[in-house]
Amino acid sequence: MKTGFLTHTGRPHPARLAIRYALAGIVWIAVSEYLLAALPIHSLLLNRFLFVSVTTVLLFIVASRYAHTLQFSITVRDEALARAHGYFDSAVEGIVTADCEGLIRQMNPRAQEMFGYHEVELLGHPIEVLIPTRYRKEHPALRKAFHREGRWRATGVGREIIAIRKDGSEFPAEITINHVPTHHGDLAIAFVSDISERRAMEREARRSETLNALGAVATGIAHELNNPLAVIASRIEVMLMPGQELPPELRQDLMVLQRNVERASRISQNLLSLARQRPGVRQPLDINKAIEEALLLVRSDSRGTRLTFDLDLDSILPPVIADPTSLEQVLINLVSNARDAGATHLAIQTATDSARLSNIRISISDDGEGIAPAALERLFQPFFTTKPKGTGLGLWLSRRMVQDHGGSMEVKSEVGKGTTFTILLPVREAAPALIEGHMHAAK
Amino acid sequence: MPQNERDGEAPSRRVRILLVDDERDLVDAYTRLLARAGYDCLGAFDPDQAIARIDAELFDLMITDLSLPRRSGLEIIRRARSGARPVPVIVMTGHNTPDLNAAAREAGADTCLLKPVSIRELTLVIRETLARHAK
Repeated sequence: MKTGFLTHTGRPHPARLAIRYALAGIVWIAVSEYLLAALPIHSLLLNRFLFVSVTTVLLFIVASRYAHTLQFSITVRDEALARAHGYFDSAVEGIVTADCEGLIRQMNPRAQEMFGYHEVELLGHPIEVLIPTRYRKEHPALRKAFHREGRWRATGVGREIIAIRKDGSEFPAEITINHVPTHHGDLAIAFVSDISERRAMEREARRSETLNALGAVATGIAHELNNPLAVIASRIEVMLMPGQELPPELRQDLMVLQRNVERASRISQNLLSLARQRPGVRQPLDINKAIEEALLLVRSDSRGTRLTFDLDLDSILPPVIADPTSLEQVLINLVSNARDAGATHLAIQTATDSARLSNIRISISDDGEGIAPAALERLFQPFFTTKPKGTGLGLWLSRRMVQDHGGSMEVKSEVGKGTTFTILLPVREAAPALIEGHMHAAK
Repeated sequence: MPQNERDGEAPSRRVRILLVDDERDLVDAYTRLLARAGYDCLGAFDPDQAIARIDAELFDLMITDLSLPRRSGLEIIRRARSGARPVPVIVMTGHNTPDLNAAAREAGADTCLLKPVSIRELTLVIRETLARHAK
């Protein structure tokens, strides 16, 4: 099977050919005497001469044919080896070959890149150097069992392991191990894929699934709360109607109740605004103009505070397909958060994202008090707030709105120095998956 | 009519409003608040009662919830809008999904408000709606 891979040419194998020719030679030697005797030649010398001449010619034909076949077979083998080297060198998977002692024999460039070693550093070293110390002890036994079985093993296919790089960092990897017997002992060939990116995406997907479910529950609760809230609010209004004779303390208490009912209904409305904003009309939108308009609204609201703005807007940005109202809301949320964090200066920048040119990057940096690492982790969770009167929904909603546009929102913050929010928005029309998600969410 | 004069209106008679909601506590409170604001407000707690009232009496305006027992609020809106003298409708609901809002408008509602609605907001919307229909 393996030699077949290297020499499959449509011609007989040289060894087989040699056997065939040897048999033909024996037949020739056996029958030639009778053939020559049958000829009407009575000189023994002439008879011998004829035998030698024919044999020489036959030998020459056989040798040249054999040489030709051998040459062809070597060329094919060379080509196959070159191809194999090509696969090895350019494979997207890392390939590590080890002998039956578990010593590394070969690493392809991808494997070297993945583990951060140069091949020569590891040649002859035990394969265990590529797995974390805590797993090293049990590995030789596993390896020996693998070689004993000496065949494809179900557990060797697509198994997940933790691998370790030269710098000590670990990464999840998927490996498939193939067992190859050779003349110089058995080899184990491991195909390794770094799956950290896939794992990260899965984690993010699970997280956003959880948040979506939480969002659905929250909007359901908000809906259910609106009726009792309306009853409470209207009763308080009845009690506070002008002309009612109320002791001043009671009136005070009722006004506290009224303020808190208003607060509860604000929370409910914030939650529901997500559902309401979904079908917002998407249109080509000049992001710079949207920022300036949002700032007009914010400025009119920020009188009395000393917030200054520094705009650095790239004037040749392509339009994004977006719902102006929801993006405006996102910007207003971010600016008012900065104000609440005691910021005095806000730098807003727009640019084409250098990593992906199909994205527009909006960054909003403030010089406020910054966000503590523990709070930073929970920042985009619904109902998480650090403000005494916050609803904990602003940033959650903002990120949802940006994600609804196929974009992303990240935050970096340093306590005492300030916070930077970065929004990435795709320039192109919404991808089909996004529209699908959108329809699903609107149901 | 001291209240109406205070609101800058001087109608020859008090504006009659039908308020439809299955929350009795709510209907009761709003009836009193609207009376205080100068309106004649009658309550109906279920769709059948509401339809009976629409058929029997004349109203200048109807305020209705959408989620009601047995019949949908949309049915009542259509009934109010289909008479010889169509009654303007304001929807006041706790479930204002975009789909529901669109359906209510299609049935003939003027405005959709999300509960809780303060009396100040409600009287403002009532005045706007009446002004629009008086044209």
